[in-house]
Amino acid sequence: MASNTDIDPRDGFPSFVKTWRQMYTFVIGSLLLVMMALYLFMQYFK
Amino acid sequence: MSQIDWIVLIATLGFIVVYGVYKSRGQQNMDDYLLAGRSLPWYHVCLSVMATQASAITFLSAPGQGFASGMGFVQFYFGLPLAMVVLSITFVPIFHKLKVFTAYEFLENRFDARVRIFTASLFLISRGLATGLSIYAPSIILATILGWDIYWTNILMGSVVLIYTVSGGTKAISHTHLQQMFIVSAAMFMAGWMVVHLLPANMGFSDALQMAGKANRLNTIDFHFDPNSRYNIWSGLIGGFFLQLSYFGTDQSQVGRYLTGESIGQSRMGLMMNGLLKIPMQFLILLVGVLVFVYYEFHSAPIFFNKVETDKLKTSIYAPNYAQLQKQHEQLTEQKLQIAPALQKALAQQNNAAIDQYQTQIKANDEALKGVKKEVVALIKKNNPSGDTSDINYIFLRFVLDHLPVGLIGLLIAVIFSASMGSVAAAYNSLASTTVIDIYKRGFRPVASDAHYLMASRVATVAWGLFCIFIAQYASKLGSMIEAVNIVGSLFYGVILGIFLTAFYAPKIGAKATFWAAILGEIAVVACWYYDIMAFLWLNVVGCLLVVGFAWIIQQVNLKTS
Repeated sequence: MASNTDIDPRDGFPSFVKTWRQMYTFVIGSLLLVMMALYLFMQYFK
Repeated sequence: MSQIDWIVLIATLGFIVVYGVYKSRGQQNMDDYLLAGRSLPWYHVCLSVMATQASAITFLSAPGQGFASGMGFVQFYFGLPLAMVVLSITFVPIFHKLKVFTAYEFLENRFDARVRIFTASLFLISRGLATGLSIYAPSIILATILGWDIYWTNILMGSVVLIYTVSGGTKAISHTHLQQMFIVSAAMFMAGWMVVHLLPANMGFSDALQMAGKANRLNTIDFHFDPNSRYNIWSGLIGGFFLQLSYFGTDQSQVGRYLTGESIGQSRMGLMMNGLLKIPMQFLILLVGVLVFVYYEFHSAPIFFNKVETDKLKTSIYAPNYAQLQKQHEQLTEQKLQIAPALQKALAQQNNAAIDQYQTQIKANDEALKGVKKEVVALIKKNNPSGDTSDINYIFLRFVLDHLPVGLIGLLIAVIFSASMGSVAAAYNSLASTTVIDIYKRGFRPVASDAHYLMASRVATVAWGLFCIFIAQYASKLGSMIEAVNIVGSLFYGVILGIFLTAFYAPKIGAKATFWAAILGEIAVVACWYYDIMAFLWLNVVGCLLVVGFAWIIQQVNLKTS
């Protein structure tokens, strides 16, 4: 089982993250932000 | 279509084919042909994954959804970023480390050859049928609206893509995906810009959004948990997560895309970017549909966008009923054409009392128009039980043909072809790789030269291409084929996901238990469908849970008896 999130070198990384764990957190955080932005968008134009 | 549109269409498609063949010349072995030599950077992986998922129907149906019911469909993709994270942590490193060509190869490594071949066969059946439908669905819409022959449209849609898929394999597919995504994005942006341009002179983009919001078309988030509501935040996050995980993790047409990454990092990064970009992309496509809705608030819209069906009504025994409904539609449209400018004026003056009044009126008018449409649909059904009673897929294309300028029409038809080519090419390639790697090489010819397998892959690609075109031709003769293939997909997808989840997350469960669990699970799913115990979409969940559950039970029994 490959549950280690930091097993390969830094190829493909954007400069603002240091580990894959941070990258996954960033993606999930972005999802939350997008959902919040969509909610505010809906409320603003309602 | 005008001559200029034809030139734009042919030039765009010709460019894609020539570019694909040129960029992928010199394929020498299976690694090159099936996985582009595992050499592609993350942005290739990302765009290839996106182009494979976005079929022609995405660009026809999503704006129609935006027009008819607003932005709620965007929630369907909320589970996708979560699925991308799970895939990157679990599936990607294992597939890369084992250097597999197909996802099913991993199953032999984890279980045995029986499980691998069984799962590969399930994939070949469901994907082969679904790809035939991917060719047929946009073809029937183009044929209906443009008056083309469905037989030749199917052949054109399914065979142009074969040219570069056979000659250049995965490398050609990835390179053409890049071009296709660029063309699709540029054309959709231009279409959106043109819709805003066609709105009344004193109305800008922001005003259009205000109007759409008042008509309840910007309903992006629905927090209510309702199992009967198709799109809400919960079904998007939970249902969408399982659906995307099974699609990206076990369907070779997607696995084959991210295995082309030159390293685990590049494949992961491609999936991460897909997770970041997919929701905004889908939001913008839906927004184009919402803008088309605003356009029709100031202009008369057809009562039903599929003109072929309404033309049939006009010459049927239901013609008087249809004429009556048309009259009602015209009266409601006249009302609408008075309310919309009044609401626009109230919005500009920020007159809240007037805004409330006109908002109520516009919603009531919208409901009344939907009611008339419902009655037209009932008439279509009565007149022709196998008639197409949904016009969602026709709304955007009808708008494009009626209102967009020459040149852009050709480009948007090219978008539909490009999107279809993107997903169909990946499907042909995945069907060929699974046939050669998991069936032919594993079962019939384990040892042969690279040149032999390369030729076998090309032959398999052509054979699957012909099969899918044949299915597309046959689909045109069976009215309920679309639903039938969706049901076939649901019969297999859950079981396949169950096998993979057992492989990844239940290390103590062995091959024998998983194989028999898959067989039992498949029988149970078919029985559930045959006795009509549940709606077919739930078969995915049931199939997956049954395989995992049966495998665990059989494993326990095995341990006790041994």
